[in-house]
Amino acid sequence: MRTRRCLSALLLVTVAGCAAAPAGSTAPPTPQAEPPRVATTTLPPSVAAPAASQVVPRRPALAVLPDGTRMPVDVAGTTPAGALRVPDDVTRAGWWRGGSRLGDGFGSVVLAAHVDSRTQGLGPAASLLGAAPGDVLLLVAGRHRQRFVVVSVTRVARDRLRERVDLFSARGPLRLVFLTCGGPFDPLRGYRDNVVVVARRTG
Amino acid sequence: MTTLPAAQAQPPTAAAVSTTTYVVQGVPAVDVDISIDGALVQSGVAAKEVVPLDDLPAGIHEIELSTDDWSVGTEFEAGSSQDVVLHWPADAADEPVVTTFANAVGPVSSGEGRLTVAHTAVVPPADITANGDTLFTNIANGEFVSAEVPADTYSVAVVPTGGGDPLLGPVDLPIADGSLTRVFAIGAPRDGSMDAVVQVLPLGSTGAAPTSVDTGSAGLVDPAGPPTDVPVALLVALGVTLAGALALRRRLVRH
Repeated sequence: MRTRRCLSALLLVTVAGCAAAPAGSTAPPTPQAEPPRVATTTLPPSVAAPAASQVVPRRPALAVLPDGTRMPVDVAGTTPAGALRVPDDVTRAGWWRGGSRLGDGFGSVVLAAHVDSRTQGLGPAASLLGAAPGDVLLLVAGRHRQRFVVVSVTRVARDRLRERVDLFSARGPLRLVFLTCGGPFDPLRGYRDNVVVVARRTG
Repeated sequence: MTTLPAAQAQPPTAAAVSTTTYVVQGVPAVDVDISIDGALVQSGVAAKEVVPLDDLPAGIHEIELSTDDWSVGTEFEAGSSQDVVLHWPADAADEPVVTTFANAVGPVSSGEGRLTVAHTAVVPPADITANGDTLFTNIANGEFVSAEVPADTYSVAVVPTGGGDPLLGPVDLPIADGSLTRVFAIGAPRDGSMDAVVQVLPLGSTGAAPTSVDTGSAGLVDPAGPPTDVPVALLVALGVTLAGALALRRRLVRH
């Protein structure tokens, strides 16, 4: 195979009338490309495009609660200890950056907002304590709009939230999990519970 | 059912300007010589082989791919991670084409993998099904689709858009947590050469689940709020999924 390629290369050089390397010169041992057996067709650069049907997932930028209140949504990471960094402003919700986005097929879109604060009083999230199955929340990200229908509104002790791995799981169809606080309040330790609203995607 | 073996490629290096390019030989039944910027990189590359080019300087490069019968050359841009794929176009042709696919190597949610499927085969637009459900539709030659899915093994098939027997598969495709799994559908039905190249790259994670959510400091709401979640929490502790737990709780409440 290699001999045949060398002979073909010599033939090409001869036909083209190019001078061969002068006898006695030392060819450097670099990995120079051998001339291809046929002329090379130059193709225009071609970069793949996503299919037209491709949905680009986007993190939510706005949440509309069942009572119509609109809450801007910020990105929320976690502290090294694992606490979700919820926006201080009670009128804004945080979206957990490790969770799902609008347009993803699976997992939880996790939002959280303060139910109240000493400086601002009650926040919009307080209305979620009275939400019921069947209520609708809307999440918006640019042209992405997705409705979610409430399936449950329950309380979980805050110090046991970490056991609810299902709330933050990537498994199962896309759903909304909205967290705030409620239950008995202690001035030193804060609220005892998280209020958890779970809503399934609809429409 | 057969399982598609994955070609394990080198992970991208951590240096600021280094790039990783993978040349994917997607033309069945030939051995190809690959040159980059005039220098021979590898000769006799068989179909389905993936040749990694580590630390190619960022920017435009020339690639030439040759056999005894044809030789094609083009330019591609080396960014952080890309696949340069030699493949036949959608219709019969004398020479293959070269398409560059940029790899999305950003972090992925914990428990998930990113699946990308590229259409580089001699077939019309096609759909991708996973476990019998249509995951993507109407993908043409030279296009790709991408989704982040729970880590699992999926039965994946390529079917003609609009219906018909599978063009490829179904085959079992494992999607690992924290991975980018890239599938290139190659070949042509007319000579039975339909096949897939599977390449797996590591990805970072967007972070572990929160352990606490502290969302209130004024004590203004009624402490007798929504029902406490005790039955569901117990069911979850027994390993039941949330959907299963809710279904069980509805049945318990009715009785």
